[in-house]
Order: sequence, then structure tokens, then C-alpha cells
Amino acid sequence: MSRETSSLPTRVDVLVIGSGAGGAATAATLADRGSEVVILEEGPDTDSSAIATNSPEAIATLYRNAGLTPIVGTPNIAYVEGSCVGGSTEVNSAFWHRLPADSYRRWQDQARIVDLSQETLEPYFDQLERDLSVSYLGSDELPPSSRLFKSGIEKLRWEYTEVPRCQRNQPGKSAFAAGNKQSMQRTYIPRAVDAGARLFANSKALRLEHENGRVKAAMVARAGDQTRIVADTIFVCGGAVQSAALLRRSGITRNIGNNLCIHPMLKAAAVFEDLVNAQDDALPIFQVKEFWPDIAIGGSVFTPGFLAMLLADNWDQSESAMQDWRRTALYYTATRGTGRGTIRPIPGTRDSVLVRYRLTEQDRINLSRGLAHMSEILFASGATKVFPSLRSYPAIQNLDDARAFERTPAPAAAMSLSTVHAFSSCPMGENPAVSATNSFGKVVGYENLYINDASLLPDSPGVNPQGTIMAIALRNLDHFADAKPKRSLRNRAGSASSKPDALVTGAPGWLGSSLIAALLNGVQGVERWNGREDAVQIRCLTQANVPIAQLQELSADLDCIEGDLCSPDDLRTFCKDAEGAVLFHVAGLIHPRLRTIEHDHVNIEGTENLVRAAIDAGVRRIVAVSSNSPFGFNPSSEHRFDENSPYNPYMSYGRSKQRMEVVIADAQDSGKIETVVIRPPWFYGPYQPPRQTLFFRMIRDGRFPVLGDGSQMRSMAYVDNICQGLVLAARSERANGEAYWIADERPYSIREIVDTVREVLEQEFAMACSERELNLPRAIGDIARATDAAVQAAGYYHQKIHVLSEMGQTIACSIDKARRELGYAPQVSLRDGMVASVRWCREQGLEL
Amino acid sequence: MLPPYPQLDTATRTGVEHDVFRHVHRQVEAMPAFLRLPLRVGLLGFGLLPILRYGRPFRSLSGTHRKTWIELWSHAPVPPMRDLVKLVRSTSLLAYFDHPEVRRSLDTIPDNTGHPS
Ligand SMILES: Cc1cc2nc3c(=O)[nH]c(=O)nc-3n(C[C@H](O)[C@H](O)[C@H](O)COP(=O)(O)OP(=O)(O)OC[C@H]3O[C@@H](n4cnc5c(N)ncnc54)[C@H](O)[C@@H]3O)c2cc1C
Repeated sequence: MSRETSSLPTRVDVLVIGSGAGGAATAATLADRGSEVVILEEGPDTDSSAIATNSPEAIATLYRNAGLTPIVGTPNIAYVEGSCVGGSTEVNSAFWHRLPADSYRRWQDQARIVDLSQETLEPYFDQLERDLSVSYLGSDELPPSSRLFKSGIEKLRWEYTEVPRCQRNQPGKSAFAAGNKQSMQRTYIPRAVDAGARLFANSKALRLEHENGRVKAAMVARAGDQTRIVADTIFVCGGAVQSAALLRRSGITRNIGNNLCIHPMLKAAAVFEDLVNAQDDALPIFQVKEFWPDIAIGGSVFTPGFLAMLLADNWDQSESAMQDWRRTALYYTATRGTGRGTIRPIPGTRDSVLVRYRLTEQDRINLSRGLAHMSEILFASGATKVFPSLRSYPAIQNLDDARAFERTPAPAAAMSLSTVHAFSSCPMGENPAVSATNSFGKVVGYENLYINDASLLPDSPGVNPQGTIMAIALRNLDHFADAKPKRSLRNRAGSASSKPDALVTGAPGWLGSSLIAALLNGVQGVERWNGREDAVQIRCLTQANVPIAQLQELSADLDCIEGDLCSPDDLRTFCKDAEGAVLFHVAGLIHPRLRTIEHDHVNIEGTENLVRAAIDAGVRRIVAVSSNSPFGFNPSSEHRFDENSPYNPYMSYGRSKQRMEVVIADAQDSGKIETVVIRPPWFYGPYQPPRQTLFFRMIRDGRFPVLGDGSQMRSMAYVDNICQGLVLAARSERANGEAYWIADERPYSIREIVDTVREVLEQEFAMACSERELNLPRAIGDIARATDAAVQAAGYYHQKIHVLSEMGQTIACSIDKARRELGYAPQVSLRDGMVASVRWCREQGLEL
Repeated sequence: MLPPYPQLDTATRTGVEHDVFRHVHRQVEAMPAFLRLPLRVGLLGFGLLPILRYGRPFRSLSGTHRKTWIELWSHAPVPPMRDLVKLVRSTSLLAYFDHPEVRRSLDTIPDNTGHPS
């Protein structure tokens, strides 16, 4: 196999950082497809078949930090990973699992990964299983430690499975013999090199250089020198800890290194009556499924040294067990960790990383239960004693001792834990609160930066992960190949766009869709938006993987550009050739999934990116949609906000919208673009999101909370009224540099809103509504506000608490300035607007 | 911290102990930088503090005093003291019992005789 000893190149097409499960698959696939690929591997190029991978020698050369990477917490957890050509696949047990069915559902629902299903991923598993010779052990080769373990499980009638391995079964040769394991050194790395990839060992990527959403180069340390390698595309495949560390060190931090998941593992040594000779390098191949997915139980690699290490927890009492080493085997119980860890580079160091994980109470309970069950199996297998890796705990002598761990879990501080499975530090998906990459590993906000390793898995798959990591990697590469000629943006609906008159962000959202309809067809109160007869050319920015059928129904000529507000490059393409156009910036994030920081990413940074792109493209005017939230609550139910009201932002969303207004004001001050800010309060109307449908349903069921007597006032804005305001703001000369409140004719009391909806449901749609009403004291609103403040102070967001916290307050505005200066005249009343909304819901088949 | 079994001739044992020491040293050096310094300070304290109690450093203590001192640290109320002993003990035991000479010796003795004499 050809390995590079020459100096590092300074320019490449594709740079793959890391040569483990993800990196090797990435390099081989891309090289096969004709890309010029360079693989960087920090560790040495040591032939793993030439040394016993569990010997102290191997641990010192093939493992990161000589096998000692602490994950800090209570307790500290020893994290073990490979660092050599082939990565952890050179030191692992090569047990193979496909992704369990429940993970697909979770990953679709929670991480919102698109195009991921058992059906789409299984072909990749098939391919990998062929390439890595995944197979079962012949039954005549069953090691005694496995045979005993199996007999114990069968006595208890618990569910178990034999786990296949990546191994070549050669006649007359043990599957466990050196060189038989089909690691990356024996499969994908040679394939990559044969296809022309160049592999540089002992070469560590220290940092990535990037600008305006494009990664330009990697700084690489090798043999005491540093080289800058410019690359068109970079795939980071350094494993769950190192990939996140590299990105964070490079200043790429969005949702990176915040979500580390692991399988914490507790080991035990079982002493049997008969000889086991577990040292003969055979791996125990059964796993207990009875308590899966929370708890897994199986066999562990054995050497006398590993046994001594386990006994070191209580060496003074347990040392005597060394005399029984030939009759002893090691086993583990692991849990699908429910906590989340973090990865942070340590400032002032070149490449030190602090990894933290807090064992949760659930983890502790699961591990203790796992220990109890594991001991039950071992006693059923004929074990006479079980030594758990628990500090200051004596050996488990019988079933009663074992079962006691179910009733009284061992304290976390006593547990000597380790883990060899880490993932999810840069989760993929379309959930802006947690996803670091899109559904295919492309880092959010970067057009040529990808992750393709364990970091991507959104959470623990609950099984040994190598198979899943590699299948996802191959899937992502197919998507990469499909997407490449089109670059990162797709013109999905129309033909190549001619010069647009209007740009719209936030389509096909609630207000965005209504606005496009208004721009195309006019809206009550204004005719065609630009007063011209010819067709309006509209270009809209749509979020990746959000269906746009709704927009296509409005017009087949819409120019839909897929992109992200956080990607300056996407926005440059969106604004291309838009000189003189009006940009309606409707997109914004009100309710993040989890973290309030998302408000800043989308509402502030997104607006900054957009303004920059719009100015560069010569866009004439931005009409930006703000909110009532920068102004908080009115001091009394009679008070109305106007355009002179001072900022008094309510919580994270309010602050982000205030800062968005400041970004717009700065743009105005620069003199390079015209701006108008529109402040609509609570919207309603067609295209509404599920939360508004829930609002109707709650009123219908008598579950909508009315705080106090319901006399607090709320301005509301029917979407067509807002669209009228937006179109007028785009047209009016006078509006340049101004802000306007745009709402319905007058504010309503909460009582009136609830009564109107109820009346509309009953009278117009003959829908029975509950007689009940959920009247709550106003103090509930105060409690919700305090809770909301506490939750948000910790950086989190809870939609229901937030909404409830505003319910007892008056939020009302005056539209006088808009009337006066824009000629704004809202056409739709509360009742008519609610009728239109409910009708739309019913037309969409939504259940009210 | 190393047990006196299995039986090795003096020259072999000295060689093994030397290799174990090298392994532990290499492990400490391979630790992430932010842990290396506290670890070195801890090891220094572990080696020198016996002067306060026994009037001499750890390496000059008798076997019994060494054992007492190690036990004192492994049950200390301060977690980093316990962690230090655990780390050094487990890495040296691993290197010791998986040392080729020790393995050879363990392998050649029949079952149940590898225990301390
Ligand atoms: C002891 C052990 C046993 C295991 N047993 C199993 C098992 O039986 N079955 C299973 O499915 N899984 C097992 N695993 C887990 C599995 O091996 C890993 O989950 C998988 O290999 C992770 O793939 P990866 O590509 O994310 O990272 P890795 O395979 O760890 O590869 C990452 C590589 O990138 C290199 N790297 C990191 N940063 C840089 C940088 N900045 N510059 C250059 N190179 C860099 C690293 O040195 C490393 O070689 C085991 C792991 C271990 C450690």
C-alpha cells in the first residue's frame, strides 16, 4: 500500500481529516469517483495486524493519549479511542449492528433528518457488510467465556443475540487471529489509495481557515512543521471528540460540541469453577437484548493486565482474585447514556480538549440495574464470584448481593466507568436548536465544509455504532455527489431567474406565503404592488427541505432559491442581479426548539448577513418585519405603543428583534440602502402554523387559559392587513428610514378574542364548543413569567411557558402613523379574519 | 505497587520493573496537557510528603510503610489523591501483568499457582 512520505501538498480538491470509520469510507468513495483526495491522519501508520491490539505496546501507539482520555464529571469516565491510520477500527472489537428501527423514527422526529429511513439506509449496510466481510462466528469456534455466558442467559430465558463481526473467516484460521479483522487498514484505506488518494500519517489538522461561509484552508502540523493546505472541500472525520474540537478551535461553534452522547460502561470480572482461558484473544460474541435499549450486557476483551486493572479499584481486598485469572472472564454492562456532554478546546493550548459528561440519575440507575442483571447471568453461568468495578465495594458473592443493586443503585462516585462509544457532538438534521449540519453532514453556514463521522449521529443508536457511522457516511456522500454540480443552492421551482422585482425571505412560511400571494394578485386595500401591469418577478429564499408545493400553487414562475440566512454565500446567490429590487425580510425565529441562542443566530446574524448581501447586490429597499416584543408590555390596558415608545424588550426574542431593528437602522445610516421596519403584533390568517391551530382547538375544548377577567388588551394583525402594510411600505417614498406599527383596526380584549373565535366556530362552522372555560388567576401569568425568565437565563426556551407568561398582559399598539403616512387602512375585521382562518384550516384537513 | 508474583529471577524482575516504570511515565506524558501538570505535582507530593510522616521520601520507605502510605492515599477523602493512586496503580498493573516476561511466566504455571507465595 502506498503511503506518503513526501511533503504535504499545499492545494487539493478534497481534504479528508481523519482515517477512521468515517474518514476511510469518505476518502475511498470520493477517490473512486475521481476526486483528488488527500487524507490526513494524526496518528502513526502502524500495521495493526502486526501487534496484539490490547498489549501495552499497542495501547501506547495505536490509542489516543496512550488510552487515557478522561471525560470529566462525577465520576470521571475513561474514554478510549484509536489514533492511527484506520482510527478506532484498528483497536475495536469490530462487532457489527445495523441501526435499530426506533432510531430512524427518533431521528426523523427529533433531529428532523430528511430522506433517512430504513429503506434508504439498508442498501448502504448491505454494501458495507460485503466490503467488510461481516459474518458470524462458526459454532465450533465459540470461546468458553461466550459459551458460559450463553448458558447463563438461556437458563434465565432472556433474549440475546449473537453479534456478527467484520472478520474474514478463513479455513483453519481463527476469526480472531491477527489480520483477520476487516478494519479500515485492510479495506477502505487501501481502496482509497488504489484509487489515487494520498494518505499522510502523523499529520494533524490544527485549525481551519474560513471566511464568509467558505472554508479556505487547513493548517496542518507534521514532523514539527506547519503547512497550509488550501482545499475546495473539506471533510472533517476526526471522531466525535476531535472533530468538534477542531471546528471549535477554528471558531466554528454553532451547535458544535454541545451534545456529546456516550455509552457509559461498567465492567465486572467473573470467576468460574472451570478453566475459561479468556486470554486466548477470542472475543465474547453474545449480547443480552432483554433490557435493551436502556441496558446492554456483553463480554469484554480479557488479558491478565485488563483483569488487574479492573481489580485495582479495590486492590487490597481483591488482589487475591489474580490467582484465579485462568478461570476469570470480563463482562460489561453499558447504558444508552441519557446525559449530554460538551467538548471545549482549552484556550492557550495547541490542541488540548476538555470533554465533560455528567452521568444522569437515570444512567446511574441503569448501570446499577445492568450490574445486577449481568451478575444474575454470571451466577446462572456458574460463576462463583463477581468483582464489579466499583470503588470500595466487595465482590458480589450471590444472587441476593447482585439483586441489591436494583434496589439500591451504587453511587456515581464509586463507579469506575469507561466508554468506547462517543457520538452526537455535531448532530445532523434540520432542527436549528441542535443541528450542527444539515441532513447530509454539511456544516450549517458553510458551503464547502462537511462532517462525516460519529459526530453526526443525532443521539445514541443504542448499539455498537461503527456500522451506522459508515452507512450514514456513504449515504451522505451520495447526496454530496448529487448536489455537487448544482453547488449548494437549487433553483427548485422556476427556470433560471430573470431580474427580480421583489425578494422575499421566510417563504413558504405563514406571512411569507400570504405576502407572495399579495404581491402576485394584489390584496384588499392596494392593487398591484408596483403599479405595473406586467408580471411581478418574485424570488424567494426557502429553507432546505421545506416543501414548497404551497408556493408553486401560487405561481409556477416563482424563483425559489434554497438557502439559509446563516450562510452568506446562500444570501449572495439569493440577492444576485437584484439591483433596484425591494427585499421583504419576513423570515424570523419566534419559538426556538430548545436554545434561545437560536434567536440571535437567525434574527440578528441572519439579518446582518442579508443586509450585507442586499447592499452588495444594489437592492433598493429592505422592508423588514419586526415585532411587538422589543417593546415589552403596555403599562396599563389603556396605553398604546406608538413609534416613539422606548425599547423595553421582553426576553430573548424581544432582544433579538430589537437588535435586528438596530441592524436595519445602521444600514439606513450607511446611506447604501433604503429601509422600513414593520412591527406587526400577534398574526392570524391562512397558512397558519400548528400552534395557531392548537389555539383554536383549545378554545373549542375550553382549555384556553384566560388569565384574570380577560380584560387585558391585545393588538392582533390579520395577515392580509399586514401584507397591505408591507406593500405600502415598499411603495411609499416617505416610508424610507421609518418604522410602523401595523395591526387590525383596534386592539381587542382577550375575552373578545376568545368569544369571537368560539362564536365563529359555532355559528359559521357548526362546531360544538365546550361550555367550560379555563379561568386562571393572573398570578399564574406572573409565575410563568418568573419561570420563563429562569429558563431563558439558563439559555433554554419553552414555548408554552413563554406564551403563558404573556397572556395576562396588555400588548397593544396604535396604527395612527401608518394610517397617516402610508394610507394604511386595515380591511379585515377580527371576525372576518377568524372565519377565513378557520376555513383555511378546514380546507387543509386540519383537525380543530 | 507491583505484586511479588509470579516468580521471576532478579534480572528479569528488574527489567520488567524498568519497563513498567517507562510505561507509566509514557502514559503520564501522553495525558492531555491540562492534566499533565497537576499529575506531575501530585506525583511529586506522593513521593515527597512521606518525609513529613516518616522522615524519608517514598522511594526510601520500607515495604510496610510504602503499603500504608499507598492505602492512605487510595482511601483519602480528597478525590484527586485517590484518582492519582488509581491511575498509577492500574497503569502499572496493566503493564506488569501484560508484560511478555510476566505473561510467559503466568502461562507456564498451572492454574491456581500464580498467587502470592
Ligand atoms: C476499544 C474500542 C472498541 C470498540 N468496539 C466497537 C465494536 O465492536 N463495534 C462498533 O461498532 N464500534 C466499536 N467501537 C467504536 C467504533 O470503533 C467507533 O465508533 C468508530 O470507529 C468511530 O468512527 P469515526 O470515523 O468517527 O472515528 P475514528 O474511527 O476514531 O477515527 C478518527 C481518526 O481521525 C484522526 N484524527 C482526529 N483528529 C484529527 C486531526 N485534527 N487531524 C488528523 N487526524 C485526526 C484520529 O487520530 C483517528 O484516527 C469501539 C471503539 C473502541 C475504541
